[in-house]
Amino acid sequence: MLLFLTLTLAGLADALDRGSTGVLRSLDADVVVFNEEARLQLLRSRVPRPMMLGAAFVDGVGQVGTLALVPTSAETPNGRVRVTLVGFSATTPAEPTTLVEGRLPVDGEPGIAAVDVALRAHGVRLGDRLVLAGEREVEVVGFVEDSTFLQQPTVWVPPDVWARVQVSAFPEAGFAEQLVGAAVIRTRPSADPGEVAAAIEAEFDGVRAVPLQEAVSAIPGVDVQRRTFTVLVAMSVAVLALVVGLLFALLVTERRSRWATLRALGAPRQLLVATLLVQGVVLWMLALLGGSIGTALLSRVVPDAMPLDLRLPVVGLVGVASLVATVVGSSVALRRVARTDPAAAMSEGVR
Amino acid sequence: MMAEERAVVEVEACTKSFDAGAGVVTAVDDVSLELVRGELVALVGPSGSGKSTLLSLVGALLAPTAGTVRFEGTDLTDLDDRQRTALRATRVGLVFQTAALVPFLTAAENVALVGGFAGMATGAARSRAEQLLTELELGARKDHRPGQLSGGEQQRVAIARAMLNEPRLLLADEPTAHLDRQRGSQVIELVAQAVHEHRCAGLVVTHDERIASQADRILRIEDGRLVDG
Repeated sequence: MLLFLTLTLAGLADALDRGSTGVLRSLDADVVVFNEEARLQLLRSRVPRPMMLGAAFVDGVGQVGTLALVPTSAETPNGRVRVTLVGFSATTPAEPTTLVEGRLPVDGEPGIAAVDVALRAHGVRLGDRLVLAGEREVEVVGFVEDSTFLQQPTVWVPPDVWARVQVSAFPEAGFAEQLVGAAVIRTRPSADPGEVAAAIEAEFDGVRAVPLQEAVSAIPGVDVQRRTFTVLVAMSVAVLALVVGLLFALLVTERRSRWATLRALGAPRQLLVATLLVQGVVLWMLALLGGSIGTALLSRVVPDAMPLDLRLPVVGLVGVASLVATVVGSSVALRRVARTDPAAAMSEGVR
Repeated sequence: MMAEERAVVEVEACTKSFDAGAGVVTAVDDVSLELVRGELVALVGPSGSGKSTLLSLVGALLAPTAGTVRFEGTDLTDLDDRQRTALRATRVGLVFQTAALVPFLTAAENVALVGGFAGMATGAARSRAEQLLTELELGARKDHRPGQLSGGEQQRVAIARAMLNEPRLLLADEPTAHLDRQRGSQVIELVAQAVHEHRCAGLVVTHDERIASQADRILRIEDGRLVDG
Protein backbone atom coordinates (compact mmCIF):
# COMPACT_ATOMS: atom_id res chain seq x y z
CA MET A 1 0.00 0.00 0.00
CA LEU A 2 2.86 2.35 0.88
CA LEU A 3 4.65 1.51 -2.34
CA PHE A 4 1.41 2.04 -4.24
CA LEU A 5 1.17 5.49 -2.65
CA THR A 6 4.83 6.23 -3.37
CA LEU A 7 4.56 5.08 -6.97
CA THR A 8 1.37 7.09 -7.45
CA LEU A 9 3.06 10.22 -6.09
CA ALA A 10 6.15 9.61 -8.19
CA GLY A 11 4.05 8.87 -11.28
CA LEU A 12 2.03 12.02 -10.73
CA ALA A 13 5.18 14.10 -10.22
CA ASP A 14 6.77 12.63 -13.32
CA ALA A 15 3.70 13.19 -15.50
CA LEU A 16 3.26 16.76 -14.23
CA ASP A 17 6.92 17.49 -14.80
CA ARG A 18 6.96 16.01 -18.26
CA GLY A 19 3.71 17.74 -19.16
CA SER A 20 5.22 21.09 -18.25
CA THR A 21 8.66 20.71 -19.72
CA GLY A 22 8.24 18.62 -22.88
CA VAL A 23 8.66 21.57 -25.23
CA LEU A 24 12.25 22.16 -24.08
CA ARG A 25 13.15 18.53 -23.41
CA SER A 26 12.16 17.61 -26.96
CA LEU A 27 14.97 19.81 -28.32
CA ASP A 28 18.51 18.74 -29.08
CA ALA A 29 19.91 21.94 -27.56
CA ASP A 30 22.31 22.94 -24.80
CA VAL A 31 21.73 26.64 -24.07
CA VAL A 32 18.66 28.90 -24.14
CA VAL A 33 18.98 32.69 -24.42
CA PHE A 34 16.21 34.95 -23.08
CA ASN A 35 15.95 38.71 -22.90
CA GLU A 36 16.80 39.80 -19.37
CA GLU A 37 13.31 41.12 -18.50
CA ALA A 38 11.74 37.78 -19.41
CA ARG A 39 13.25 36.22 -16.26
CA LEU A 40 13.83 32.93 -18.05
CA GLN A 41 10.17 32.69 -19.11
CA LEU A 42 9.71 31.38 -22.63
CA LEU A 43 6.30 33.03 -23.04
CA ARG A 44 7.75 36.46 -22.21
CA SER A 45 11.07 36.22 -23.96
CA ARG A 46 11.79 38.53 -26.87
CA VAL A 47 15.39 38.66 -27.99
CA PRO A 48 16.53 40.87 -30.86
CA ARG A 49 17.10 39.01 -34.10
CA PRO A 50 20.58 40.55 -34.57
CA MET A 51 21.62 39.14 -31.21
CA MET A 52 20.45 35.72 -32.28
CA LEU A 53 22.40 35.96 -35.51
CA GLY A 54 25.45 37.27 -33.67
CA ALA A 55 25.36 34.43 -31.15
CA ALA A 56 26.48 32.05 -33.86
CA PHE A 57 29.93 33.68 -33.72
CA VAL A 58 30.48 33.24 -29.99
CA ASP A 59 33.12 30.68 -29.04
CA GLY A 60 31.67 27.23 -28.46
CA VAL A 61 28.38 27.90 -30.26
CA GLY A 62 27.58 25.31 -32.88
CA GLN A 63 24.15 26.17 -34.21
CA VAL A 64 21.44 28.69 -33.29
CA GLY A 65 17.68 28.54 -33.74
CA THR A 66 14.65 30.48 -32.53
CA LEU A 67 11.85 29.26 -30.35
CA ALA A 68 8.82 31.38 -29.52
CA LEU A 69 5.70 30.45 -27.60
CA VAL A 70 2.24 31.93 -27.31
CA PRO A 71 -0.85 30.47 -25.63
CA THR A 72 -3.82 30.23 -27.94
CA SER A 73 -6.68 27.94 -28.90
CA ALA A 74 -7.23 25.40 -31.63
CA GLU A 75 -10.50 24.18 -33.12
CA THR A 76 -10.27 20.40 -33.26
CA PRO A 77 -12.81 17.83 -34.48
CA ASN A 78 -13.88 17.46 -30.83
CA GLY A 79 -14.09 21.17 -30.09
CA ARG A 80 -11.92 24.04 -28.98
CA VAL A 81 -8.74 23.14 -27.08
CA ARG A 82 -6.26 25.38 -25.32
CA VAL A 83 -2.84 24.88 -26.89
CA THR A 84 0.59 26.48 -26.91
CA LEU A 85 1.69 27.65 -30.32
CA VAL A 86 5.41 27.10 -30.83
CA GLY A 87 7.18 29.03 -33.56
CA PHE A 88 10.45 27.32 -34.39
CA SER A 89 13.11 27.65 -37.03
CA ALA A 90 13.41 24.43 -39.01
CA THR A 91 16.62 22.42 -39.18
CA THR A 92 18.03 24.20 -36.12
CA PRO A 93 18.32 23.18 -32.45
CA ALA A 94 14.80 24.62 -32.04
CA GLU A 95 13.35 21.72 -34.00
CA PRO A 96 11.65 19.01 -31.91
CA THR A 97 13.40 15.65 -32.04
CA THR A 98 10.37 13.61 -31.07
CA LEU A 99 8.56 13.33 -34.39
CA VAL A 100 6.55 10.09 -34.40
CA GLU A 101 4.42 10.46 -37.53
CA GLY A 102 4.46 12.57 -40.68
CA ARG A 103 6.90 15.46 -40.93
CA LEU A 104 7.73 18.84 -39.46
CA PRO A 105 6.87 22.10 -41.21
CA VAL A 106 9.75 24.02 -42.77
CA ASP A 107 10.24 27.77 -42.87
CA GLY A 108 8.04 29.40 -45.50
CA GLU A 109 5.13 26.96 -45.04
CA PRO A 110 2.60 29.20 -43.31
CA GLY A 111 -0.35 26.80 -43.51
CA ILE A 112 1.41 23.72 -42.11
CA ALA A 113 1.83 22.47 -38.53
CA ALA A 114 3.07 19.49 -36.55
CA VAL A 115 1.14 18.89 -33.34
CA ASP A 116 1.66 17.03 -30.09
CA VAL A 117 0.24 13.50 -29.94
CA ALA A 118 -1.92 14.69 -27.01
CA LEU A 119 -4.23 16.24 -29.63
CA ARG A 120 -5.06 12.77 -30.95
CA ALA A 121 -7.29 12.44 -27.90
CA HIS A 122 -9.24 15.40 -29.35
CA GLY A 123 -9.76 13.60 -32.64
CA VAL A 124 -6.94 15.27 -34.55
CA ARG A 125 -5.47 13.15 -37.35
CA LEU A 126 -2.89 13.71 -40.10
CA GLY A 127 -4.33 15.95 -42.81
CA ASP A 128 -6.87 17.59 -40.49
CA ARG A 129 -7.12 21.37 -40.56
CA LEU A 130 -6.95 23.23 -37.26
CA VAL A 131 -8.16 26.79 -36.79
CA LEU A 132 -5.75 28.66 -34.54
CA ALA A 133 -6.94 31.59 -32.42
CA GLY A 134 -10.24 31.45 -34.30
CA GLU A 135 -8.82 32.78 -37.55
CA ARG A 136 -5.67 31.09 -38.88
CA GLU A 137 -6.01 27.67 -40.45
CA VAL A 138 -3.17 25.13 -40.53
CA GLU A 139 -2.97 21.61 -41.87
CA VAL A 140 -1.58 18.93 -39.58
CA VAL A 141 1.32 17.20 -41.35
CA GLY A 142 3.04 15.55 -38.40
CA PHE A 143 2.83 14.41 -34.78
CA VAL A 144 5.49 14.92 -32.14
CA GLU A 145 5.41 13.25 -28.72
CA ASP A 146 6.34 14.43 -25.25
CA SER A 147 6.40 18.09 -26.27
CA THR A 148 3.66 19.63 -24.13
CA PHE A 149 4.10 22.92 -22.29
CA LEU A 150 2.44 23.63 -18.94
CA GLN A 151 0.17 20.61 -19.50
CA GLN A 152 -1.06 22.00 -22.83
CA PRO A 153 -0.58 20.31 -26.21
CA THR A 154 1.73 22.18 -28.57
CA VAL A 155 1.27 23.17 -32.20
CA TRP A 156 4.60 23.61 -33.97
CA VAL A 157 4.62 26.16 -36.79
CA PRO A 158 7.17 28.29 -38.67
CA PRO A 159 8.21 31.49 -36.80
CA ASP A 160 6.17 33.85 -38.98
CA VAL A 161 2.93 31.99 -38.15
CA TRP A 162 3.78 32.40 -34.46
CA ALA A 163 4.45 36.13 -35.03
CA ARG A 164 1.04 36.68 -36.64
CA VAL A 165 -0.87 34.72 -34.00
CA GLN A 166 1.07 36.60 -31.35
CA VAL A 167 -0.04 39.91 -32.86
CA SER A 168 -3.69 38.88 -32.90
CA ALA A 169 -3.46 37.57 -29.33
CA PHE A 170 -1.63 40.60 -28.00
CA PRO A 171 -2.26 43.44 -30.47
CA GLU A 172 -0.79 45.97 -28.05
CA ALA A 173 2.61 44.33 -28.51
CA GLY A 174 2.53 45.03 -32.24
CA PHE A 175 4.36 43.11 -34.93
CA ALA A 176 8.06 43.29 -34.35
CA GLU A 177 9.92 41.60 -37.12
CA GLN A 178 13.27 42.15 -35.46
CA LEU A 179 12.29 40.27 -32.30
CA VAL A 180 12.28 36.52 -31.86
CA GLY A 181 11.24 34.55 -28.75
CA ALA A 182 14.27 32.82 -27.32
CA ALA A 183 17.48 31.78 -29.00
CA VAL A 184 18.20 28.09 -28.74
CA ILE A 185 21.80 27.01 -29.08
CA ARG A 186 23.54 23.72 -29.66
CA THR A 187 27.12 23.99 -28.49
CA ARG A 188 30.12 22.46 -30.17
CA PRO A 189 30.85 18.92 -28.88
CA SER A 190 33.84 19.99 -26.77
CA ALA A 191 32.20 23.11 -25.31
CA ASP A 192 30.73 23.40 -21.82
CA PRO A 193 27.15 24.77 -21.96
CA GLY A 194 27.68 26.81 -18.77
CA GLU A 195 30.75 28.49 -20.21
CA VAL A 196 29.05 29.14 -23.54
CA ALA A 197 26.07 30.69 -21.72
CA ALA A 198 28.43 32.95 -19.76
CA ALA A 199 30.23 33.95 -22.95
CA ILE A 200 26.94 34.93 -24.61
CA GLU A 201 25.90 37.02 -21.62
CA ALA A 202 29.29 38.75 -21.71
CA GLU A 203 28.98 39.40 -25.43
CA PHE A 204 25.42 40.80 -25.55
CA ASP A 205 23.70 43.27 -23.27
CA GLY A 206 20.22 42.63 -21.91
CA VAL A 207 20.18 38.87 -22.38
CA ARG A 208 20.21 35.95 -19.99
CA ALA A 209 21.70 32.69 -21.25
CA VAL A 210 21.38 29.45 -19.30
CA PRO A 211 22.00 25.75 -19.89
CA LEU A 212 18.91 23.89 -21.11
CA GLN A 213 18.30 22.13 -17.76
CA GLU A 214 18.21 25.47 -15.97
CA ALA A 215 15.72 26.78 -18.52
CA VAL A 216 13.61 23.67 -17.94
CA SER A 217 13.65 24.26 -14.17
CA ALA A 218 12.64 27.91 -14.74
CA ILE A 219 9.36 26.93 -16.40
CA PRO A 220 6.62 28.23 -14.07
CA GLY A 221 5.83 25.81 -11.26
CA VAL A 222 8.37 23.18 -12.28
CA ASP A 223 10.91 23.87 -9.57
CA VAL A 224 8.34 24.14 -6.75
CA GLN A 225 6.54 21.10 -8.09
CA ARG A 226 9.75 19.07 -8.17
CA ARG A 227 10.71 20.08 -4.64
CA THR A 228 7.22 19.44 -3.28
CA PHE A 229 6.95 16.00 -4.81
CA THR A 230 10.52 15.12 -3.88
CA VAL A 231 9.67 15.87 -0.24
CA LEU A 232 6.43 13.86 -0.48
CA VAL A 233 8.10 10.87 -2.13
CA ALA A 234 11.04 11.05 0.31
CA MET A 235 8.63 11.15 3.23
CA SER A 236 6.70 8.16 1.99
CA VAL A 237 9.97 6.26 1.47
CA ALA A 238 11.01 7.23 5.03
CA VAL A 239 7.64 5.99 6.34
CA LEU A 240 8.22 2.81 4.35
CA ALA A 241 11.58 2.32 6.09
CA LEU A 242 9.91 2.89 9.45
CA VAL A 243 7.07 0.47 8.72
CA VAL A 244 9.48 -2.18 7.41
CA GLY A 245 11.58 -1.66 10.54
CA LEU A 246 8.58 -2.14 12.82
CA LEU A 247 7.32 -5.10 10.81
CA PHE A 248 10.66 -6.85 10.97
CA ALA A 249 11.12 -5.99 14.64
CA LEU A 250 7.74 -7.60 15.29
CA LEU A 251 8.64 -10.58 13.13
CA VAL A 252 11.95 -11.09 14.91
CA THR A 253 10.43 -10.72 18.38
CA GLU A 254 7.62 -13.10 17.54
CA ARG A 255 10.02 -15.69 16.13
CA ARG A 256 12.83 -15.18 18.62
CA SER A 257 12.51 -18.70 19.98
CA ARG A 258 12.62 -20.12 16.46
CA TRP A 259 15.81 -18.22 15.63
CA ALA A 260 17.33 -19.43 18.92
CA THR A 261 16.30 -23.02 18.15
CA LEU A 262 17.81 -22.88 14.68
CA ARG A 263 21.02 -21.37 16.08
CA ALA A 264 21.14 -24.13 18.70
CA LEU A 265 20.68 -26.72 15.97
CA GLY A 266 23.74 -25.36 14.20
CA ALA A 267 22.38 -22.74 11.78
CA PRO A 268 25.12 -20.18 11.12
CA ARG A 269 24.31 -16.53 11.90
CA GLN A 270 24.83 -15.57 8.27
CA LEU A 271 22.22 -18.10 7.16
CA LEU A 272 19.58 -16.64 9.48
CA VAL A 273 20.41 -13.07 8.42
CA ALA A 274 20.33 -14.08 4.76
CA THR A 275 16.99 -15.83 5.27
CA LEU A 276 15.47 -12.71 6.79
CA LEU A 277 17.03 -10.53 4.11
CA VAL A 278 15.59 -12.75 1.38
CA GLN A 279 12.18 -12.48 3.05
CA GLY A 280 12.55 -8.70 3.01
CA VAL A 281 13.56 -8.64 -0.65
CA VAL A 282 10.71 -10.95 -1.65
CA LEU A 283 8.30 -8.75 0.29
CA TRP A 284 9.75 -5.70 -1.45
CA MET A 285 9.43 -7.32 -4.89
CA LEU A 286 5.81 -8.28 -4.26
CA ALA A 287 5.03 -4.80 -2.93
CA LEU A 288 6.73 -3.16 -5.91
CA LEU A 289 4.85 -5.39 -8.34
CA GLY A 290 1.52 -4.84 -6.60
CA GLY A 291 2.14 -1.11 -6.27
CA SER A 292 3.09 -0.83 -9.95
CA ILE A 293 0.03 -2.74 -11.10
CA GLY A 294 -2.20 -0.66 -8.81
CA THR A 295 -0.74 2.63 -10.02
CA ALA A 296 -0.94 1.56 -13.67
CA LEU A 297 -4.61 0.65 -13.19
CA LEU A 298 -5.26 3.92 -11.37
CA SER A 299 -3.68 5.90 -14.21
CA ARG A 300 -6.26 4.40 -16.54
CA VAL A 301 -9.26 5.39 -14.48
CA VAL A 302 -8.32 8.87 -13.28
CA PRO A 303 -9.73 11.80 -15.29
CA ASP A 304 -7.57 13.21 -18.12
CA ALA A 305 -7.16 16.41 -16.12
CA MET A 306 -5.07 14.49 -13.60
CA PRO A 307 -1.81 13.61 -15.29
CA LEU A 308 -0.71 10.26 -13.90
CA ASP A 309 1.66 8.09 -15.81
CA LEU A 310 3.95 5.33 -14.58
CA ARG A 311 7.11 4.94 -16.63
CA LEU A 312 9.74 2.24 -16.16
CA PRO A 313 12.47 4.68 -15.02
CA VAL A 314 10.12 5.96 -12.29
CA VAL A 315 9.40 2.39 -11.16
CA GLY A 316 13.16 1.76 -11.19
CA LEU A 317 13.92 4.85 -9.14
CA VAL A 318 11.19 4.18 -6.58
CA GLY A 319 12.22 0.52 -6.59
CA VAL A 320 15.82 1.33 -5.70
CA ALA A 321 14.78 3.89 -3.05
CA SER A 322 12.31 1.48 -1.49
CA LEU A 323 14.83 -1.37 -1.56
CA VAL A 324 17.30 0.81 0.31
CA ALA A 325 14.48 1.75 2.73
CA THR A 326 13.70 -1.96 3.20
CA VAL A 327 17.33 -2.82 3.93
CA VAL A 328 17.77 0.18 6.25
CA GLY A 329 14.44 -0.51 7.96
CA SER A 330 15.25 -4.16 8.53
CA SER A 331 18.85 -3.58 9.60
CA VAL A 332 18.01 -3.34 13.32
CA ALA A 333 16.05 -6.58 13.12
CA LEU A 334 18.88 -8.20 11.17
CA ARG A 335 21.34 -7.22 13.90
CA ARG A 336 19.08 -8.76 16.52
CA VAL A 337 18.84 -11.99 14.55
CA ALA A 338 22.61 -12.05 14.07
CA ARG A 339 23.04 -11.74 17.83
CA THR A 340 20.55 -14.48 18.70
CA ASP A 341 21.83 -16.48 21.65
CA PRO A 342 21.48 -20.21 20.90
CA ALA A 343 21.30 -20.94 24.62
CA ALA A 344 17.97 -19.09 24.68
CA ALA A 345 16.47 -22.20 23.12
CA MET A 346 16.83 -23.97 26.46
CA SER A 347 13.92 -24.16 28.89
CA GLU A 348 15.35 -22.39 31.93
CA GLY A 349 16.56 -19.52 29.83
CA VAL A 350 19.15 -18.38 32.39
CA ARG A 351 20.31 -14.76 31.71
CA MET B 1 36.15 -51.75 24.32
CA MET B 2 38.27 -48.92 25.64
CA ALA B 3 37.41 -46.84 22.61
CA GLU B 4 33.74 -47.66 23.14
CA GLU B 5 33.84 -46.29 26.66
CA ARG B 6 35.93 -43.25 25.89
CA ALA B 7 34.13 -40.14 27.06
CA VAL B 8 32.44 -38.05 24.39
CA VAL B 9 32.20 -35.15 26.79
CA GLU B 10 34.38 -34.43 29.82
CA VAL B 11 33.36 -31.60 32.10
CA GLU B 12 35.97 -30.59 34.65
CA ALA B 13 35.36 -28.21 37.54
CA CYS B 14 33.02 -26.21 35.38
CA THR B 15 31.37 -23.03 36.62
CA LYS B 16 28.98 -20.76 34.79
CA SER B 17 28.00 -17.40 36.24
CA PHE B 18 25.79 -14.69 34.85
CA ASP B 19 25.65 -11.02 35.61
CA ALA B 20 22.07 -10.56 36.78
CA GLY B 21 22.20 -6.82 37.26
CA ALA B 22 21.98 -6.74 41.05
CA GLY B 23 24.74 -9.31 41.33
CA VAL B 24 26.36 -12.41 39.89
CA VAL B 25 24.28 -15.58 39.70
CA THR B 26 26.17 -18.86 39.59
CA ALA B 27 23.99 -21.29 37.68
CA VAL B 28 26.54 -24.12 37.50
CA ASP B 29 29.07 -24.40 40.30
CA ASP B 30 32.21 -26.53 40.03
CA VAL B 31 30.63 -29.44 38.19
CA SER B 32 32.56 -32.36 36.78
CA LEU B 33 31.07 -35.23 34.79
CA GLU B 34 31.65 -37.56 31.86
CA LEU B 35 29.29 -38.70 29.16
CA VAL B 36 30.25 -41.86 27.31
CA ARG B 37 29.00 -43.52 24.14
CA GLY B 38 25.92 -45.70 24.38
CA GLU B 39 24.86 -44.41 27.78
CA LEU B 40 21.81 -42.26 28.52
CA VAL B 41 22.25 -40.05 31.56
CA ALA B 42 19.32 -38.29 33.19
CA LEU B 43 20.00 -34.95 34.83
CA VAL B 44 17.39 -34.39 37.51
CA GLY B 45 16.80 -31.36 39.65
CA PRO B 46 14.25 -28.78 40.68
CA SER B 47 13.41 -25.79 38.55
CA GLY B 48 16.23 -23.23 38.55
CA SER B 49 18.84 -25.72 39.74
CA GLY B 50 21.05 -25.20 36.67
CA LYS B 51 20.04 -28.26 34.60
CA SER B 52 19.56 -26.42 31.33
CA THR B 53 22.66 -24.29 31.86
CA LEU B 54 24.74 -27.43 32.34
CA LEU B 55 23.12 -28.93 29.26
CA SER B 56 23.98 -25.73 27.34
CA LEU B 57 27.61 -25.95 28.47
CA VAL B 58 27.85 -29.59 27.42
CA GLY B 59 26.18 -28.85 24.08
CA ALA B 60 28.52 -25.97 23.15
CA LEU B 61 25.70 -23.46 23.49
CA LEU B 62 27.43 -21.60 26.31
CA ALA B 63 31.04 -21.13 27.26
CA PRO B 64 31.97 -21.82 30.92
CA THR B 65 33.11 -19.00 33.22
CA ALA B 66 35.68 -21.36 34.73
CA GLY B 67 36.73 -24.96 34.17
CA THR B 68 36.80 -26.89 30.93
CA VAL B 69 34.39 -28.75 28.70
CA ARG B 70 36.12 -31.18 26.33
CA PHE B 71 34.19 -32.60 23.42
CA GLU B 72 35.94 -35.68 22.02
CA GLY B 73 39.18 -34.24 23.35
CA THR B 74 38.64 -30.69 22.05
CA ASP B 75 38.42 -27.97 24.67
CA LEU B 76 35.29 -26.02 23.77
CA THR B 77 36.73 -22.81 25.22
CA ASP B 78 39.30 -22.90 22.39
CA LEU B 79 36.53 -22.67 19.80
CA ASP B 80 35.04 -19.45 18.48
CA ASP B 81 31.32 -18.98 17.83
CA ARG B 82 31.56 -20.23 14.24
CA GLN B 83 33.39 -23.39 15.28
CA ARG B 84 30.95 -24.09 18.12
CA THR B 85 28.07 -23.63 15.66
CA ALA B 86 29.68 -26.08 13.27
CA LEU B 87 30.26 -28.56 16.10
CA ARG B 88 26.60 -28.39 17.12
CA ALA B 89 25.53 -28.85 13.51
CA THR B 90 27.67 -31.92 12.93
CA ARG B 91 28.16 -33.67 16.27
CA VAL B 92 25.37 -32.67 18.66
CA GLY B 93 21.71 -33.61 18.44
CA LEU B 94 19.27 -31.46 20.39
CA VAL B 95 15.71 -32.14 21.54
CA PHE B 96 13.93 -29.24 23.24
CA GLN B 97 11.09 -28.92 25.71
CA THR B 98 8.75 -28.20 22.83
CA ALA B 99 9.37 -29.84 19.48
CA ALA B 100 10.24 -26.38 18.05
CA LEU B 101 9.48 -27.42 14.49
CA VAL B 102 9.19 -24.91 11.67
CA PRO B 103 5.41 -24.70 11.18
CA PHE B 104 5.37 -24.30 7.40
CA LEU B 105 7.68 -27.26 6.71
CA THR B 106 6.58 -30.88 6.59
CA ALA B 107 7.90 -33.41 9.10
CA ALA B 108 10.48 -34.69 6.60
CA GLU B 109 11.53 -31.16 5.67
CA ASN B 110 11.94 -30.24 9.34
CA VAL B 111 14.18 -33.23 9.88
CA ALA B 112 16.17 -32.66 6.68
CA LEU B 113 16.61 -28.95 7.48
CA VAL B 114 19.52 -29.54 9.87
CA GLY B 115 21.31 -31.58 7.22
CA GLY B 116 21.84 -28.33 5.38
CA PHE B 117 23.47 -26.78 8.46
CA ALA B 118 25.97 -29.64 8.47
CA GLY B 119 26.65 -29.37 4.75
CA MET B 120 24.75 -32.53 3.82
CA ALA B 121 23.40 -32.71 0.25
CA THR B 122 19.66 -32.00 0.03
CA GLY B 123 18.80 -35.38 -1.48
CA ALA B 124 20.84 -37.31 1.08
CA ALA B 125 19.34 -35.32 3.95
CA ARG B 126 15.85 -35.92 2.64
CA SER B 127 16.32 -39.66 2.27
CA ARG B 128 17.98 -39.96 5.71
CA ALA B 129 15.10 -37.93 7.19
CA GLU B 130 12.53 -40.29 5.69
CA GLN B 131 14.47 -43.31 6.95
CA LEU B 132 14.58 -41.90 10.50
CA LEU B 133 10.89 -41.01 10.42
CA THR B 134 10.11 -44.54 9.30
CA GLU B 135 12.23 -45.93 12.16
CA LEU B 136 10.20 -43.77 14.55
CA GLU B 137 6.95 -45.02 12.99
CA LEU B 138 6.20 -41.71 11.35
CA GLY B 139 6.77 -42.79 7.76
CA ALA B 140 3.14 -42.23 6.89
CA ARG B 141 3.20 -38.78 8.45
CA LYS B 142 6.36 -37.48 6.75
CA ASP B 143 4.49 -35.05 4.54
CA HIS B 144 2.35 -33.65 7.35
CA ARG B 145 3.02 -30.24 8.78
CA PRO B 146 3.57 -29.84 12.56
CA GLY B 147 0.04 -28.50 13.01
CA GLN B 148 -1.31 -31.82 11.71
CA LEU B 149 0.71 -33.89 14.20
CA SER B 150 0.04 -34.66 17.87
CA GLY B 151 2.43 -33.44 20.59
CA GLY B 152 4.01 -36.89 20.88
CA GLU B 153 4.44 -37.17 17.12
CA GLN B 154 6.02 -33.74 17.01
CA GLN B 155 8.56 -34.76 19.66
CA ARG B 156 9.33 -37.90 17.67
CA VAL B 157 9.99 -35.69 14.63
CA ALA B 158 12.29 -33.61 16.87
CA ILE B 159 14.16 -36.78 17.89
CA ALA B 160 14.54 -37.74 14.23
CA ARG B 161 15.87 -34.22 13.57
CA ALA B 162 18.37 -34.60 16.40
CA MET B 163 19.60 -37.90 14.97
CA LEU B 164 19.87 -36.81 11.34
CA ASN B 165 23.56 -35.92 11.44
CA GLU B 166 24.46 -39.05 13.40
CA PRO B 167 25.53 -37.06 16.45
CA ARG B 168 28.14 -38.13 18.98
CA LEU B 169 26.04 -36.51 21.70
CA LEU B 170 22.25 -36.39 22.04
CA LEU B 171 20.91 -33.75 24.41
CA ALA B 172 17.29 -33.52 25.44
CA ASP B 173 16.01 -30.60 27.49
CA GLU B 174 12.81 -31.58 29.32
CA PRO B 175 11.45 -33.30 26.20
CA THR B 176 8.42 -34.66 28.05
CA ALA B 177 7.37 -31.42 29.74
CA HIS B 178 4.34 -30.92 27.52
CA LEU B 179 3.35 -34.56 27.15
CA ASP B 180 1.19 -36.82 29.29
CA ARG B 181 2.94 -39.57 31.28
CA GLN B 182 2.41 -42.30 28.70
CA ARG B 183 3.61 -40.26 25.76
CA GLY B 184 6.46 -38.83 27.84
CA SER B 185 7.58 -42.32 28.70
CA GLN B 186 7.47 -43.31 25.01
CA VAL B 187 9.58 -40.31 24.06
CA ILE B 188 12.25 -41.12 26.69
CA GLU B 189 12.18 -44.71 25.47
CA LEU B 190 12.86 -43.50 21.96
CA VAL B 191 15.68 -41.24 23.17
CA ALA B 192 17.22 -44.16 25.05
CA GLN B 193 16.78 -46.38 22.01
CA ALA B 194 18.46 -43.80 19.80
CA VAL B 195 21.39 -43.50 22.21
CA HIS B 196 21.84 -47.26 22.48
CA GLU B 197 21.36 -48.08 18.80
CA HIS B 198 23.39 -45.21 17.40
CA ARG B 199 26.09 -45.56 20.11
CA CYS B 200 26.13 -41.89 21.02
CA ALA B 201 26.30 -40.28 24.44
CA GLY B 202 22.99 -39.03 25.78
CA LEU B 203 21.98 -36.51 28.42
CA VAL B 204 18.36 -35.84 29.19
CA VAL B 205 17.23 -33.09 31.52
CA THR B 206 14.08 -33.73 33.48
CA HIS B 207 12.48 -32.95 36.80
CA ASP B 208 10.35 -36.10 36.64
CA GLU B 209 12.01 -38.91 38.62
CA ARG B 210 9.85 -41.62 37.04
CA ILE B 211 10.91 -40.51 33.54
CA ALA B 212 14.53 -40.37 34.75
CA SER B 213 14.36 -43.97 35.89
CA GLN B 214 14.37 -45.02 32.23
CA ALA B 215 17.93 -43.69 31.87
CA ASP B 216 21.10 -45.73 32.43
CA ARG B 217 22.41 -43.31 35.05
CA ILE B 218 20.89 -40.46 37.03
CA LEU B 219 22.69 -37.28 38.07
CA ARG B 220 21.09 -34.89 40.51
CA ILE B 221 21.75 -31.17 40.54
CA GLU B 222 20.80 -28.64 43.20
CA ASP B 223 21.79 -24.99 43.30
CA GLY B 224 24.18 -25.58 40.42
CA ARG B 225 26.07 -28.45 42.09
CA LEU B 226 25.88 -32.16 41.39
CA VAL B 227 24.79 -33.99 44.53
CA ASP B 228 24.99 -37.64 45.45
CA GLY B 229 21.88 -39.43 44.58
